Amino acid sequence: MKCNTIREKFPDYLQQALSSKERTEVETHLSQCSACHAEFDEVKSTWELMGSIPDDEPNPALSERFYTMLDAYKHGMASTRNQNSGLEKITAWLSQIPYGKPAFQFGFAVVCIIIGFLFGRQANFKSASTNDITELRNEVTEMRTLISLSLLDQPSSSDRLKGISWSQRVTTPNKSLVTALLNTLNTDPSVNVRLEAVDALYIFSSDPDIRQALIKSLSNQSSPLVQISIINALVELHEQKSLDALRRLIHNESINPSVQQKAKWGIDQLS
Amino acid sequence: MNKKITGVVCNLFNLSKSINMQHEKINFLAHVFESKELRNLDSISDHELMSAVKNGDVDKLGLLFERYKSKLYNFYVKQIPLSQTCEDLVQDVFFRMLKYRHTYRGDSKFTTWMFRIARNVLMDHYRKHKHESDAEVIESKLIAADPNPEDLAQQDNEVRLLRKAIQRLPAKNRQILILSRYHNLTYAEISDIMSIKIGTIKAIVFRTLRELAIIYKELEGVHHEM
Repeated sequence: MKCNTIREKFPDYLQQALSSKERTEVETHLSQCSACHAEFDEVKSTWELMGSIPDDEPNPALSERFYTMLDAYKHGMASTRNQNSGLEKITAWLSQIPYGKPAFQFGFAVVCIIIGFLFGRQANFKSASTNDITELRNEVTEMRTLISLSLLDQPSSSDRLKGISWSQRVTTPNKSLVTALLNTLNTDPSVNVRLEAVDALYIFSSDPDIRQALIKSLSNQSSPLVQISIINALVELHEQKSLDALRRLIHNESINPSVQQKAKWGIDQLS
Repeated sequence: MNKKITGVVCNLFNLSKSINMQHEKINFLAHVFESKELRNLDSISDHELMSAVKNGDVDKLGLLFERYKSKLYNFYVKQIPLSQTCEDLVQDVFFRMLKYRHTYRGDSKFTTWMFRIARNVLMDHYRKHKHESDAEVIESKLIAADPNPEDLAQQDNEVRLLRKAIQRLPAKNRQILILSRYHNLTYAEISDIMSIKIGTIKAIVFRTLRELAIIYKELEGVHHEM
């Protein structure tokens, strides 16, 4: 009980948000309890390591762009004010139009017909060009699929990473691309490549077969990092069917403890 | 010959443009000095400046920009490894401050309001560019996978791996950890920014630190194998 209360105070301790009394209390406990001490050491060393990342400076062009934007905004504000006074003049002018006279009504109807005719022609023209664009888009998708498939087959891992990157530019993957990605996920020797395959498959996860394949792959993976990544993906997808696979991970003693912990978290989130 | 003349004219045009820009900046600063009668600029609180912006004195946003551009840039660059994208996001934050200035109420700290906007900008970026952002991460990993000797000399290996490890954390937890570690915000303020209970924020910080340690060690292992 005491240990839990002390561990809850670690984040405040790191942020130096504890009163001196609470601080001493934590330090005294740490000097007596080796389990808490080990836990605290790990968290503290990561916290301190994070401090070693230096701050980066933005490019001076950012300032130029900001001041241009500010200036444009001010001009915009000024012209809106002018428009408001202009609007009053237009309203006064409109109120003088003789709406009730038949000559005006007839003229207005003719103008409407002409506008309608022109608009209709424009719309026809657009639909023809939309067909062309769809065709072009299909060709681009086909080309991206081909590039992705051939890169996934390369011996160099950075080529295969590029292959996965290309696959993510395809909106709806065909069967051979999905099979190649699943193959990469299950058999690729590089951890980095397998991790990327998880991300790519996550994008295409509206397909229930892909979700099923992710679940199946969970127990066959050798790297804890890949397993954690798959669990994250399944939880984000709210995939209830993965509960059984997650439970199996917990009961399998050969599985890495941090993966088991993640699987427990996954079950909590899903159930 | 003609090309040469066009080139010179272009250069002159660019030069005059940048002189204009500097001129505007100087005019702007002079305006601020006059209006505050040489009062020390640092002593004007964020709240006073933002209230002035809200009431239509939009020039004051320039001072807030000078104060916070680096902070916001670093908030993004630790999560997205592309400096150009991060600069776009910072620009978007200040644009939204202008656009939604009437929503500033000043009942919490200015930085809390600012980071709430920064968080929304980031979420919108992830939503809009799901495909591109993944491609960006992959490209940055490709660069990281084959570092040239100069890069290695410039950037400490530990720092490089840690940056990679941070980028691997789940987006929400990563934001919370970065706000807590790098921006000196209290847990109450982070709870306000993220709209999550304070107890949950503390638990997430603790859990994410442990997860970061695991990922870092694993990456270190992969790195040695290579």
